[in-house]
Order: sequence, then C-alpha cells, then structure tokens
Amino acid sequence: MAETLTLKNNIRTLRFFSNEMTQQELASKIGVTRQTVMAIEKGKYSPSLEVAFKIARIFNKPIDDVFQYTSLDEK
Amino acid sequence: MISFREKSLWVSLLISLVIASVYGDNILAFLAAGEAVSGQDISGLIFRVVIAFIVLEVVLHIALAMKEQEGSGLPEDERERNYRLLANNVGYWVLSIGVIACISQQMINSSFGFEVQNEYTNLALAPFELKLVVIFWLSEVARFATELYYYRQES
Repeated sequence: MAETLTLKNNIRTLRFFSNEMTQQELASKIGVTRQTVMAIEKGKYSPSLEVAFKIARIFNKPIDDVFQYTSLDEK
Repeated sequence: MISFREKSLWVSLLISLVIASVYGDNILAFLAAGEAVSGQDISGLIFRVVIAFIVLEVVLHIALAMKEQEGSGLPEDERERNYRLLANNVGYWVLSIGVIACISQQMINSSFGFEVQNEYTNLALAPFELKLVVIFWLSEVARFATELYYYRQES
C-alpha cells in the first residue's frame, strides 16, 4: 500500500525565533495575504515552490528546515 | 478572520440568491396567473433583474471596500488565484452541461413537435433565453459556492 505523505512545516517556530514575527509581517515580505500564511502554517494549503523558497529565505534556512514532506505517522 | 475576497464572494453569492428568488418568484407568479405571458414581459423581467444585480453588486462592493480599506487594495495572491481558477472550472462545467442540455431539449422539442412558444404557460416549453438565464445563474452560484468551499475548508 502506498505510504500516505503530508507536508508539514515549522513556520510558527521560526516566526517565534525571529523576534515573534507576525503572520502579517511574513505575508508582506513574501507578497501574499495574511490568510495565506495562516493556511500554510496550519498545513491547509501547500504553497508553490516559489513561495516556499521565499519563506525559507526570510528565515535564512534551507527549505528542508522549513518544510518536511513526511509520513502521517512521523512526528 | 475572513479576508476581503471571501467577504466579497459571500456578498456576490447572497446577491445571486436574492436576485434568483426575485426572478423565480416573478416567473412563478406569471405561471400561477394562468394567463399567457409574452416574450416581452419576460425580456423586461430579465432586463430589470440584470440591472438590479449590477446595481447591488456595485453598491455593496463599494460599501465593503470602504469598510475593509486594508484588504481591498491587495492584489490577488497565488492561493486566491488557485481557488478562483478551480471554482471557474466548476462554473464552466455547469454552464457547458446546462447549455448542451438546453440545446438538446430544444432539438427534442422541435423533433417531436413540442412547439416552443412565444406565449406560454408551461415552463418546460419556455424560450431558450429564459432557460439560459437560469443556467448562467446556476453556473455563477456553483462558482461562488466552490470558491467559498475552498476558503471555508481552511478554517
């Protein structure tokens, strides 16, 4: 049976360690709405590669540190 | 918190439903009267309904934009564009299937001698344009509802 994979992210944590950056600030920096940042953070919307790279660049992290494509069972 | 675009969609959906109820109510009143209705009466009704729809859309969206000054000026982002395109696709299918069904019905009517009347008391034999308005309205409602469904899925 095919493994069920899901896109997880650490945006909330990364925002916290970036002087409690707000969703609105992050949204303005990457050129999307606050609602989009909220949806990405909650894992309800998978961003395009471009937006994913922009987010990683804002936090000065490789994209793997921001987004993980993992099995549903993995924590 | 609901975005400006989502509020705008709710406004458009509500206007569509209100206008449809006014339109449907008038058509049913025509039929209930039991008198033959001329194409001119129907054209007049469609014209009034379209004008009411445009006026309501413009007025309520201006009011919404004044209330939500921050959100109204923002350009559409990729998520909103994705949802809009997905919803447009659904609306397009509803419109295509509806128009094909309408043309087929018209062909069947003429093949089997069910005359399409200029004056009528039966909705099944209503003119083509009257059915097209209903199909167009259905496709618009499907479009708004689909887009709202995607937005609501996130909350």
